[in-house]
Amino acid sequence: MVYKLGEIKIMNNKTIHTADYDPLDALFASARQMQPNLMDDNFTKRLLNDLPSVTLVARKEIAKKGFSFDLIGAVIGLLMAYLFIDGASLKSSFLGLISDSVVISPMLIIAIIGAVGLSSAVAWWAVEDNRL
Amino acid sequence: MKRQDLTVLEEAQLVELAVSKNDQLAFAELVNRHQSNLRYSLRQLTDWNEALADDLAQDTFIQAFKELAKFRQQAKFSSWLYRIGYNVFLQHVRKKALDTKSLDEQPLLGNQLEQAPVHDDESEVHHKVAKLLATLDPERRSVLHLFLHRQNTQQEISDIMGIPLGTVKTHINRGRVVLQDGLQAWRD
Repeated sequence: MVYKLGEIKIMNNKTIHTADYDPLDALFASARQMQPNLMDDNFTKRLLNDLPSVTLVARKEIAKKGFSFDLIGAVIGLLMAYLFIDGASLKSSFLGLISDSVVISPMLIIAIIGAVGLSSAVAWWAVEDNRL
Repeated sequence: MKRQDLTVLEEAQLVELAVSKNDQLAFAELVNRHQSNLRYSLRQLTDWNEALADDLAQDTFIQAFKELAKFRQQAKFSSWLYRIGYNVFLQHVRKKALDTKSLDEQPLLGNQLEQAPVHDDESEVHHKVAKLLATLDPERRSVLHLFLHRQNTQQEISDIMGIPLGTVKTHINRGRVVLQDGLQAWRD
């Protein structure tokens, strides 16, 4: 179908002359009628190469499956521990490891504060870097 | 499913395939159906910068693919896609500080449009419209494009762009005046 500049088709498909209409509406109507069907060329191919391999939903499904396996493993592990390990001796030997008193030196406090500060700075940097 | 089989499917079915089966061919079919309109719209919004518009369209489709599960079937896919496209365009404008001087503050001189490169009749119309729209700020530009070119209703524009109906009306009224002045100046 060939459209002439200066003619527009309105919603009922009737062709009218743009001179009868607001020049702005006429200009946009002309653009609408003449809108080219842009050839795909390599647009879709390039896009498919850049697409993430899995969608968000698929990724959630994979994560859900992984979580299920972890849960099953944990349940089996707990069951085996319950059946094969003597709980009373384990408890007493564990409690034996804990000393009655702890000495905290000023150097230890400084080291703890330093470690917390450093890890906070690393965490902040990681979050900011990820956000940008 | 083969590529040819996908062409007969409805958009809702293609979305379902792309989401649940991670079917990239189904998504490619959606891209095939909408790429021309979206790329054209983005060209109009970027002062007919073809390379930039195509890059923004690529980003739009990638974003759409990532968020496909959020698409609600009640809405039109094209409207949902345009909403993403508009946000991608706006992000680009904010990042790159695209030239967005509004005619509201700086009236368009007739010779600005005359300085546009010469094209054949058809492409001249598209370039002229893009040049006119480029004189508006990005939000108003998008509203006017949706209203005058895509012929969306004011309510649809409000939904697509996520702005109040009153703001859409204001953009249309003020934008029309600015564009009419610009066109008049160009004609004189």
